[in-house]
Amino acid sequence: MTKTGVTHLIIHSFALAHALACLLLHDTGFGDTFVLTCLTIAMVVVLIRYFDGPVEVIVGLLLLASFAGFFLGTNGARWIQKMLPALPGIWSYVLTTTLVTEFLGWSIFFVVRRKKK
Amino acid sequence: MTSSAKRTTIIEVLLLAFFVLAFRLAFEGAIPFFQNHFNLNFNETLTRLLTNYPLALLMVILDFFLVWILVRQIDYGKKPMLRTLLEISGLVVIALSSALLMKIMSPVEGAEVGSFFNYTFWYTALAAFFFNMIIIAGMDIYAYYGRVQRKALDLEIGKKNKARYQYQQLKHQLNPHFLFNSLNSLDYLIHTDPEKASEYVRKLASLYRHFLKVGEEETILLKDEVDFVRLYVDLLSQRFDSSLKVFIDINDEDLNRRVIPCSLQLLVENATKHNIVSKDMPLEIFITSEDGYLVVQNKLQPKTYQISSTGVGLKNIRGQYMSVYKKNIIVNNGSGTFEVRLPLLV
Repeated sequence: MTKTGVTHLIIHSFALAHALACLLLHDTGFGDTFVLTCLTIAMVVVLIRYFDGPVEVIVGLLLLASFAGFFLGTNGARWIQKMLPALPGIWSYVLTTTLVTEFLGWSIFFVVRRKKK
Repeated sequence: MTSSAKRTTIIEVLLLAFFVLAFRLAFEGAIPFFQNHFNLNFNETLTRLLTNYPLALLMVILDFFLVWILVRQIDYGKKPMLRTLLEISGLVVIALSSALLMKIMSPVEGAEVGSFFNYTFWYTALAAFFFNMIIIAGMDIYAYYGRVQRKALDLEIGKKNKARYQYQQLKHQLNPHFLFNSLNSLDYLIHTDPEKASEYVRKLASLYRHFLKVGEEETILLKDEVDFVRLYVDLLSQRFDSSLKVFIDINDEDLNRRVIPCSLQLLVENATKHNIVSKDMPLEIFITSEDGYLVVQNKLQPKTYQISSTGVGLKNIRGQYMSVYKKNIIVNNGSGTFEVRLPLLV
C-alpha cells in the first residue's frame, strides 16, 4: 500500500473511532473528553511515527492537536446546532468530532509528510 | 547537517504523549478549580490579556524571536531534549513577563490586594503561558515545515547538479576532439619516435583510467588532481610543444585538501581552448594555492576566431561546488588576466 493510502487508513480509522467514542460516551456520566483526547493524541503519535518526525515537532503537534481538538470540537458542535437545528444533539457532536479529526489528521500529514533528509 | 539526528524512539514519543495528555487534563481541571475557589474566569483573563494590544503584539514578537533563535542555533532533530527545555524555559519567562507587564499596565479593578504576586498574577501568567504555547508551537511547526521544504528543494537541486556534472564528465571521457588530436599526435610519434609513442599511449591510458576512476567520486585529493593535470599537460605538450607552459606551486598542506574531480583539468583545457597557444605567443598558466583557494590564472590572449563558449564547464564546476560544499567558485576576468578560484576543503 502507498504512503498516502496508509495515511488515509490511519486518519479515517481514527475519525471513525472518534465518532464511535463520542456516540457511545458523550451522554454518559464519564463523558467523552478523556477518550477523545487520548484518541487524538494516539492519531498524532501514529502519524508522526509513520513519517518519522522529530521530537520538537511532536511536542508542538501534540499540544496544538489536543487543544485545537478540544476548542474546535466544543465550538464546532455549537455552530452545527445553529446551522442544522433539526439534527439531534448527539449527532452534531459526532459530526463535529469526525470533521475535526479529519482536519487535524490531514493538517499533520501536510506538515510531516516530507521527511527531512 | 542532520548526521547526528537520531530517530525518535517509541518510548520517547509515548512519554511526550503522556505529558501532553497530563498537561491537557490538568489544564482542563485547573479552569473550574480557579473559577470555583478564586472566582477567576479563564476566558475573561485570556480576553483581558489579548485585548491589551501592545502586550499581545509584544508576546507574539518575543515568541517569534524565541523560535527564530532556536531554529538558527539548534537544528530540528539535534539535541531535542535541550531544545525542548530551552523552548519551555523561554515560554515560562515570556509568560511571567507578560503577567508582570499586565499587572503594571492594567491592574484588575476590585482584585484582592496584598502581595504583588497574588492569584490574579499567577492566573494571568497561566493564560499567557497557554496563549504563547499555542503561538510558539504553531511557529515551530511552520519553521520546521519551511525547513523541510527547503531541504527537499536543495536535495533536488543537488541531484540535478550532480546529474548534469556526470553527464558532462561522460561527454568529456568520450570527447572525440581530444581523442582525434591524441591519435594524430600518436600517429606522428609512431613514425618519428616509437619509444615516445609507447610512453604517450601509457599516459593516454592513465588519463582515461583516471576519468573512469573518479567518475562516481564527489571529491578528490588535490595532489591526485594535480598528478592528473600533469599527465594531461604532458599529452597536450605533444601538440603545443613548448608553447604551453604550466607552472604549479601549491604548498604541501593544501595538496591534502580536496577539490571536485577534473575541475583543475577542465580549467587548463578551457585556457588552451579559448586562448592563442603558439611559439610567438606561448600560453602560461599559473596554478597556485592561496587563502584556502586553488587559483588558476592565465594571461588573456583570445583566439581571433573565437570558439563559441557556452560556459557550461564553469557552470558545472560551480554547480558541483554549491551542491557538495555549499561554496561558490570565484571568477575574475579583467586587467588582461583570467583567474578562477576553487575553494579547497578538508
